Amino acid sequence: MVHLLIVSTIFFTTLFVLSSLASSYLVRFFQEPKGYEASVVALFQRASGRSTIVDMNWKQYATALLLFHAILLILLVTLLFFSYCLIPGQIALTLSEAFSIAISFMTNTDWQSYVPEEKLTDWLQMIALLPQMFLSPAIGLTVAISLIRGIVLVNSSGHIGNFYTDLFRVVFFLMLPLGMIFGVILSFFAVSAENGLLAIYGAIQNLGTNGGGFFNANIAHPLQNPSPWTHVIMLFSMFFLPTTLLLSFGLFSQNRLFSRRIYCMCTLFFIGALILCTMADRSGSLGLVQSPYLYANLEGKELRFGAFWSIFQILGATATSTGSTSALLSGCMPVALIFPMLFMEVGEVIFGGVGTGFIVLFIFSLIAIFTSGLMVGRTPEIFHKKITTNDMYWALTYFLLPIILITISLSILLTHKPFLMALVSTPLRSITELVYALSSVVYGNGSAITTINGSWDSWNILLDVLMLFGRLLPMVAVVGLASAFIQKIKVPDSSGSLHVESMPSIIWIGLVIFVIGALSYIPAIVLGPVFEQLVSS
Amino acid sequence: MSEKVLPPISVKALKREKRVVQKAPTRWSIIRRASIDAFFRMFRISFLLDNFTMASVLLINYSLSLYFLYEWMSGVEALQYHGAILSILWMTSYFAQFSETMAMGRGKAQADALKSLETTTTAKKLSDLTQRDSYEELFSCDVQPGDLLLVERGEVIPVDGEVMVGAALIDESAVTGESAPVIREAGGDLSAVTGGTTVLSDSLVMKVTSRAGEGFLAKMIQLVEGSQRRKTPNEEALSVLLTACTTLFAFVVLLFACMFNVRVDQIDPGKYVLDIDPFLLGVMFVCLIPTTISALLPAIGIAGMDRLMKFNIIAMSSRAIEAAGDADILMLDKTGTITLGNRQASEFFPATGISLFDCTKAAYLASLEDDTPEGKSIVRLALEKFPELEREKIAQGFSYIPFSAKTRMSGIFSEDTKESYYKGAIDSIEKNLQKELQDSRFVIDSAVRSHVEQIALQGETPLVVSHNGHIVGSVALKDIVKPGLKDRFSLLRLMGIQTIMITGDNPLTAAAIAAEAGVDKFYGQVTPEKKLEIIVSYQEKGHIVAMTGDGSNDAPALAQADVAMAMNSGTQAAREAANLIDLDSNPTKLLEIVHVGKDLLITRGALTTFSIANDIAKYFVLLPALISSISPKVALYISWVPLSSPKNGCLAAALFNGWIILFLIPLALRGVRTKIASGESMFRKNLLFWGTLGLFSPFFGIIAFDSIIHFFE
Repeated sequence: MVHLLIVSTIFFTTLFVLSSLASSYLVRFFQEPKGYEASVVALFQRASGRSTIVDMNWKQYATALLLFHAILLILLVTLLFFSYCLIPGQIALTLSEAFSIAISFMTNTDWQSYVPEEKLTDWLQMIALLPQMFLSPAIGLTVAISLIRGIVLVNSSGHIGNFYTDLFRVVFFLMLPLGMIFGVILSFFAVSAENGLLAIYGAIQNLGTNGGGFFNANIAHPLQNPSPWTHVIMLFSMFFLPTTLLLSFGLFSQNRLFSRRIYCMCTLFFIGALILCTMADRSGSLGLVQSPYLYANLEGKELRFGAFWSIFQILGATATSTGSTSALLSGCMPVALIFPMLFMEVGEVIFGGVGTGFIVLFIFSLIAIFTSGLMVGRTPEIFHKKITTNDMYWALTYFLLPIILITISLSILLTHKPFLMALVSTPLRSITELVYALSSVVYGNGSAITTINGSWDSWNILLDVLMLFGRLLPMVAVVGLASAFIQKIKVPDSSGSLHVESMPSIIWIGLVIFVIGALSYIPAIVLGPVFEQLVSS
Repeated sequence: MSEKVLPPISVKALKREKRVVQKAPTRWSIIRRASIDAFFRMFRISFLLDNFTMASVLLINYSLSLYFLYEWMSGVEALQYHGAILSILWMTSYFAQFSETMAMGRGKAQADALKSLETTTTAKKLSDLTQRDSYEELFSCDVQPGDLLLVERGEVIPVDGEVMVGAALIDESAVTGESAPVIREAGGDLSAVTGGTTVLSDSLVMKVTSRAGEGFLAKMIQLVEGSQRRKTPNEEALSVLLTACTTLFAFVVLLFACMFNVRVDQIDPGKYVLDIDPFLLGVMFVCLIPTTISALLPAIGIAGMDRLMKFNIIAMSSRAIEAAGDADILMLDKTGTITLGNRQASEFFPATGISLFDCTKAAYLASLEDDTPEGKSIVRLALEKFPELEREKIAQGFSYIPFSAKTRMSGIFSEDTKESYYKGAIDSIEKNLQKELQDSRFVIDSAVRSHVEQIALQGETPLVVSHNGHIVGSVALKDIVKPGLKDRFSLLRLMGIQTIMITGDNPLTAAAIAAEAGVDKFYGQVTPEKKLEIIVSYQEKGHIVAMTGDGSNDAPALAQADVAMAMNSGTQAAREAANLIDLDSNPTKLLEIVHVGKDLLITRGALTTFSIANDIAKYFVLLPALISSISPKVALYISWVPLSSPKNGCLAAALFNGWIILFLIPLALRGVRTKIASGESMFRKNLLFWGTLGLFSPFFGIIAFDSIIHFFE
């Protein structure tokens, strides 16, 4: 345990320092482009046929967002479906497979129900999937940027920026350079010279919280992840952009204390879960405890790095919305699975996905401050803006949509025995597997308990729909929220107001994240992993 | 003349005389009435629409009742247990309704008393202001706005209106509860009369401003009954949250039922039917959704209005009370709010070359006709100094020019001799003299100015007296700051509320008074238009402004302010523009309103936090109870609360869920009392208290109920 604490403290301190440095760069994207960036953006504007940047209101922004996804989806599906004509050695993909792959990479989920080595050639991975891995986190970040503008700035017309321009800037001035840097670092550790593609793939896979693997074994593959150092760098890069965004919000809103305290809160959550998960995984089943060889439950762990780093990776991949795996989830004790499940089900807020992490955090802060902010004797305000009915509509839509999607699809699957039998390996594990899979898909994570049978067609179609809705509908709600917020005038600060960055508020936000997540999923956890653990031991 | 046959007036008047003022309702009579009303309210359809959470409880109740009926017909064993659950769930619905009817109870009783005033009376309609003898008798319901009515001694004023001619002593106790009669007179700020009040002396001619049944009284009845209450913005936002919570838990329970079936199938294969007890699911749903706050939410709002009524303030909308909690700028008129109403003349300062007697005489003559307290005090002081002034009379031909907010001076003026005596603020006198002497460059000489400044520096109000175009001297009017205000203002500052003093006085006087009263800011020489400007400029910066006013010229500012309290003694225009009306006409009450507003919001927040925190404890009790039927082993493992049996625990949780509503009704009605403190510390204390209470009280409550059930088992 001491080893665990020391290592994670060093990890998160380093993360904090590097993110703080990077955050001053990220701040530029919240403002109008300046200097050389402005001239490049102007070039892009001219190319797209517009002379000036046109700010969008929420309807235009949401339309642009959906339209962009629609076009992207069509292009991607076409490319994948006809790839066998273009790329030599590529086998033909069915339309349903093409849709699955396209949607899962477009929505930052990267759920892979196929074996990449068998289905996709290196070329196809490079021209079809790699750009997506840059683009999908960039879209998340763009939407988060519009929300941050909404929170910090005031604009009575409700315009929150131009989607295309923001996306262009984020891709070309952030994702590409950063991907290159991490790719180059990873390539130092590469086993052979031709692994440049693997290095950049591994870099953006984690940096963009994508998680889709070049190999079926994901980052457990020795070519992808040759040494403990690459493992740690990949872990680090998963957290890097979400934390940087959080800290840059503090810079932009001139409320660094809030960002830093939230950072500490999330870190504590993570370390707490790490300790509990490690303990739970070591508890073992009855049979395992009686065996004389028990030191740790090593089933499914990446033995090159040890049980600790495997669990760190499992939790890190679910706390952020990465979902890359270096260890097998199905090998964990059922109770240990509670933690990655909960991490996803609170909406991936412990730093979360690129962009989405901050969004969820803000939504939770909004709900937390709204419920008890009244107790200062004023209608609640957050970042000096009053919370109104409209905001609650958007925020709660964002919060409830995934839960409703998961519940409805789960209810259908669970009440039809044939569905259930087709999907799960062992009846006892069925609930855990299904809840995990659906949460993973809806919240855009992409990791899975691999014993689930992924080759069933209707199941994959269901997942596609969930991925698409789980990603796009909440995003529209965020755009609406951003626009509602930017129209508010700021309430002057006084000794009577509640500050979001004060210690009680931060603790309360933390509690609300935990309690709401827990309240929504306690039945699933009790009847899933807990039941399984108790009945099997 | 009207064709209608009217009953003899004397009989009507007799009936009025005999009208017994209704006794204040006792607590038990309110409770009795509320408990009966609540029962019938429970079945109203309209209720289903505005409270999603409680409506879903009702829906569960109905469906479970039907299911129970079916079970009864087919003879199932668990009938007793199910019956108990069903009755507890119905009780929860009933308590929710009871809280609302209870909150409305006091208002209802008051409304009944008011309704007795709203009966039809006769009215005497005049066709001409001057001819009082020829009138036409009408029923009060036939009176149209704009009509002129004559009301004589002993008669009841039939509808709302404005006094056009005359002044009268009026008994408003039936409407305001204030037993001392008030004077209502034509012109000025005391011209509004309310339908249902009685003229005690003299007679007056009034102009009707509203139809019968639409006036102030009718509005007041609607308000106190709570029948016209609309949700406030914050209430609406909170309802969205509660609706979302209810939806969330509906899905959670649905998911639970599905998973439950899967487990049943695994433990006992082949038994693949819906095996979960619907009553237990119903209990789980009702316990998890935030029933406590949803049930009490309307009551909290109504009680806020009711609490203001105890201060004798009528809230025209509950929105105003909420805004009062939010207000961070209090605009207070100096006179009457910060200082004790009337200023007293304290000293005469003659100008150079003028004797004290001449100066005093000029001031005396300028004020003799002046009925304002200031004018009267000048007369009093002058007589004190020179008793021989008693013989001085105003000569024939002089006409009185009354004080107005625009000219800010008053005096007497004779058209024939062009003689004049004026007194007023230095600027207005200067302007007037410029007009009188037709010399736009005329300025008052520096000696007088320095006098004036000296007076002002001491916090007294200087008035300059002029006679025939010459300045003869100045008068000092002394202001007395109300005791205890300074402390209250500093408390307000702690809560983040700025106090701003508004006065027509010159800035120097204003500064001295402001310093003495301890206000944060002040604006001197404020005209009504300026007042509006100040409010708008604060609102643009995001402040929420509260103010009081009474005059007609305050109406625009009152309409603009977020919280606007008009004095009942004020004009009709002011009363219509405001959203709060103070029946006692005491502007200092604005501070109380802010407290009530804050208490209301805090109560709402506290109960929401309490309600949501309750869920954690309830899960600990409900899950073992529900799971015990599939795997007692698992249920035993997760039941950490010491209960006699899981089934009893379930019953106890439902009982706690229902009774807590009843327990919290007094709190919802009274409001959470909070000590004034800064936002941060208030948040910390309240969150700690209500969060902890919400987290742990269900454990104790459920254990207590469980032992009671166990005892009777």
